[in-house]
Amino acid sequence: MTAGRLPLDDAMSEFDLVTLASQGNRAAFKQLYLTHHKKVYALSLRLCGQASQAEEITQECFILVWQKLPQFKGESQFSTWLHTLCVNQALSFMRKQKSFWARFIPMESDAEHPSSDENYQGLDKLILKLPERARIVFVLCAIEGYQHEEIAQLLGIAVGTSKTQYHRAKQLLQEML
Amino acid sequence: MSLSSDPRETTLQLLIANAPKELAPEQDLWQGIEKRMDKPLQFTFAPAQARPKQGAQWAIAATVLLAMFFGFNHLNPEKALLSGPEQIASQQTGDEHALQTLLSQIAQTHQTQVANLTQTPATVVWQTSRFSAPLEQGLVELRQAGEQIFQALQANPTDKQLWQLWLWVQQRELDLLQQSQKLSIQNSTQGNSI
Repeated sequence: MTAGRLPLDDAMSEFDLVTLASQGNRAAFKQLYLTHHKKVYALSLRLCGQASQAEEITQECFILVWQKLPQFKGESQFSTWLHTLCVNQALSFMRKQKSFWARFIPMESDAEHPSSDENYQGLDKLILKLPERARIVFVLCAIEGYQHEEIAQLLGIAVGTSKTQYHRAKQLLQEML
Repeated sequence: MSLSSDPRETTLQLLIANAPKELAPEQDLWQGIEKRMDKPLQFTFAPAQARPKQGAQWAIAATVLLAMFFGFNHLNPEKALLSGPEQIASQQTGDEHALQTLLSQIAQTHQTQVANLTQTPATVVWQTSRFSAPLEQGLVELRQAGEQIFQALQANPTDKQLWQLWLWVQQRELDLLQQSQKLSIQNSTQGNSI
């Protein structure tokens, strides 16, 4: 694919990069990756709570972006589209992981094993210690600005459950402070 | 941001407000992404996923037509009795001809659907899958059964049960082909929509 090897102009806008990448230009896609991968990784890490899984989700997410880019019509900003895709990908990944492990561990437990990495600071260090459901709801609501109705729809839970998990997460975080 | 009187609540709100938008992964993830970019693109399978719906639409249309045909003859026996023998024979010949045409059209559409499904890139990988043997065997048996039913229908196109059986066999063949494609997809990313 010759379009995939064309050199890029430094002054290219994100729209131009998205257009080129959707036509198969790898250099343009790499540029998009370099611009956005840290945001995607941060969101993934906060949602799943483990660095190794967050890296996997980030990779899956960008592969999905590469595959779905021709379907991106520019009706929203690329970053918005990417964010939605990342949230869906992270939740889907976690569901798959859970259903796999559930075969061996029939009793669902809230005591997950979060990343023990001490490199994270501030809120991230505390978030990683939260139970999974409370963490997901807290990240989506407090950091990403989702409404409880949106979270309930995304996770397939009741709005009341989302609110309960949010308050539980806040309470746990305050106790950690 | 409204600050609460509870100092811990205030601290938490400050932490949320100051949380970094970006975090760097510990290792370079690009190489892994680049390797997997060479694999067949997911969107090439999207039309294939739509094909069973087309098959189902054909099956529904055929069922409705058959129901109308058989229902009409069943509900109007007086009309048949009142008609002359020649008219009945002529009517039956016309109906059978229409059913034969429908039979050929559905068979042709089904063959196109099967061809489209088997030409997708995923099936290349499927051939090597160790899980595919039972599916291959099932496909062979379904195709043999479908061919026999098709021949029986050509001889007797007004047999309602044969029609239902034939349409069911065709749908099962498409379902199995779909399942066989799912076997080949590693790290499936389906189920995500924007």
